[in-house]
Amino acid sequence: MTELAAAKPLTPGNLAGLSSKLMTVTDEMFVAVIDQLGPVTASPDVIQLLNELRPRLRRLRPLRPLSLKRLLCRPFEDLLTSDPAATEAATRIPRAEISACWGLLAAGADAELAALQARLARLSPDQPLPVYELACNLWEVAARTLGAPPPAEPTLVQSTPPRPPHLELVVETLAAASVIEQFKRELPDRPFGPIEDATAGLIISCARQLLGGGLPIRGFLLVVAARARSPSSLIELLARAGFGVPAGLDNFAVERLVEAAARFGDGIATTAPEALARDADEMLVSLTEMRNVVGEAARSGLARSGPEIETTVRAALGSRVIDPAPAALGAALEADASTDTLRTAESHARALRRSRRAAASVGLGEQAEQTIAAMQGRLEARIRDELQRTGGGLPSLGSGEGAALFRAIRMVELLSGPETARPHLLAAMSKSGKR
Amino acid sequence: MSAVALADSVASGSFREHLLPTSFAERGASVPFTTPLLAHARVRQGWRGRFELVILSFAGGAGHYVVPWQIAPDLVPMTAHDRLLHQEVLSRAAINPQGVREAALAVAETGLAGPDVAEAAQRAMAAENEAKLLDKSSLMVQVIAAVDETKAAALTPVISQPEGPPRIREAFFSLGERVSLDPEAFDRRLSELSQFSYLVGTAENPAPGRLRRLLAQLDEFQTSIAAWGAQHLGTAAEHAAYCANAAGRTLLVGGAALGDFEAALDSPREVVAEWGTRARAVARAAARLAWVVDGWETITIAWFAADSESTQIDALAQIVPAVPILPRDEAKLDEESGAAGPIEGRRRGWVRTSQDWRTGEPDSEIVQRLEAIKAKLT
Repeated sequence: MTELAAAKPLTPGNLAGLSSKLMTVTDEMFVAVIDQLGPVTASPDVIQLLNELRPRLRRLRPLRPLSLKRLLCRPFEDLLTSDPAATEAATRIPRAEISACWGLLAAGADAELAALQARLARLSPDQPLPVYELACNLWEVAARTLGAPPPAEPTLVQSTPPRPPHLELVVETLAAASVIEQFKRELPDRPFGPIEDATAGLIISCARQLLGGGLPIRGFLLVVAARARSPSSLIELLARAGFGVPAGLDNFAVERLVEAAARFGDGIATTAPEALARDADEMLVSLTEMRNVVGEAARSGLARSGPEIETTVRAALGSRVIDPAPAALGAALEADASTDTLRTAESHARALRRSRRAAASVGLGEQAEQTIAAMQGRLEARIRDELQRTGGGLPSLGSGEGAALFRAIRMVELLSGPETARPHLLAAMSKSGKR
Repeated sequence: MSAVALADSVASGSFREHLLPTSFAERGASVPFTTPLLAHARVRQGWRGRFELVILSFAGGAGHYVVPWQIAPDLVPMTAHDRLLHQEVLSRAAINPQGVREAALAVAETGLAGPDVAEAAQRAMAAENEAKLLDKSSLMVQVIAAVDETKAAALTPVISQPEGPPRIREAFFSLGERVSLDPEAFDRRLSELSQFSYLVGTAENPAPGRLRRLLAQLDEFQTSIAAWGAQHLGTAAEHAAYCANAAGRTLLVGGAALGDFEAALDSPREVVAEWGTRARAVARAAARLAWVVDGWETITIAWFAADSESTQIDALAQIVPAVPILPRDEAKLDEESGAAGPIEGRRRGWVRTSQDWRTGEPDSEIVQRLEAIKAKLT
């Protein structure tokens, strides 16, 4: 243990001034101190300290310690939820249930866990292959132990109580763990984008592998849905490939959309306009796709949530994207506009352009188009004025002149696209002999 | 389309190696375009002296396509910034990294790639002027040291202080003819020398030159991405190892180039006294180092900006297709290091859509991401 780390135990209360000290110590000492902070990372003081140390952490990337419990969760980590009420949902695993789950495992496979723990103690996180092999053994033991029927009560009527849905899901993902991990290795993006041919091929081949081995595919497909940007595309793929949609998958897709809509609604006041426009567009596209692909059971949920989502999007686009855009862009045309003003104006211009499709589908299409046309007209008038001032050509680069002209061309590009901005730039370049 | 495929993913072994560029000049200088299709494009001079644009992954494949520079705007829908940069590169006849950089800074300053990029360009230009002054002061201290070590030792700590340059200049002129030339003439030559030596800077200079800094940044990148890759399996690990390997080989060549520069500028006094060949050797060594690190800065920025597992995976997907290929002649330098053949053969990548399929225009989100990287360029 290094001197600094060993001097006194680090607690959230004695971190003052530590960040500046830590930026000057050796890499080894730095990592030792970070290790000590591991168990208390939830404290606000520690979070603040870690934020200050982020540049050096990014460079060194100290490894997180290994634990069997953490390895156990790896195949179903995408399905974990902080909602403790999700025990009844067949598509989520509450984080709070992990301890109970581990308890069941320890009770049923104590000796095997002890052997795995002894093996793990000899490994470090930078040995991914041996760690993976050990994890495969763990998942096998866990799937067998947790999937075994509990001992029946000695009563006259022999019956086995059903496993809670979340535990059933844990067992299914553990049984499919090696295929889930193979899928994640091949397609590490999260969320991954549209399901194109290569991705579709990977999903189908993994599903076939599981079916061929007589293993359940539901856990795998839920993990894929949780990692997909658009779970509805997965449902469509499964239907197309003749797999059928496993129970709960379409409800899960709808739940994800509803959750995204709730997050969207909560962030309307604080999210940047361009992010709002992007999220609104993605949500409405998902909603439309979902309406076409989900089954009867999920459709009723969608019938309730769909109009609510559209109302939220409409309110967000109107109040945060379309209405404030003219003032923001106008401010950017002032001669003394600050960098912040320019950034805000650019964000609004991008947002407005991005929101066109979403606005049209929630009844704001005309308002958006009119706003864009009015602003474009204003910007083009400014371009003409500036070109007149410069004699029709571009000012020479590096002279510091022509800021207003370039700014107006830039805003037209962000608002209406490069094709619309191009003729203005080309006209000026041509008069300057630059074309 | 009059495009010529230079290399293709089906090529392999010696045939593939044969298709690799021979020299840095043949590889071309990277141009910081913001149009996604041109994100990793390079400019070079073809065998008939005409300018050419080398486009990577033009159709989503692994080939490099070479088209006449002039027709590029007709081939690819460009952003306004890129349209002007395309023109500026041509009008300045910029075909090396420093020339392209100067053109890019001039265009970036217009604000056509946004206010942050414009501010970054202004900062970079100011830093460049400052670096030239510092470098000249640093060279002067080295010349003074050759005549009077005690005086030089007292001046070294003030090189970057406001009072440094006038004190150093005064001390330098007080040496009179002892510096080997008339001090006025000597001063003029030192100014000329620092016009290209500032790019690397001297070891004594408290602010390392940009190229020296980029080499250090590449070293950090290699350590970081290799460590990250060691914790992963599968595609991500393969990609990280590929990047770390490419960075390592570039560092090897870069280390040698830096050594050449330092040897060439070992004694500024002698360089000035034996002007001509010696000064050209310094300029050549600095230019060579600029070629070695060319194209790596955007990669290191993208990597270090990623601070979570998912953003790192995403950054890796952007980085892999952009990793600069080490030219054939340069790759020979590190054959003894045990690296097996040109790494180009192992290039793989996630295919990303960079154009809006509905309009054929550059994908605005990717343009914004490229602009964000551009705003961090030095």
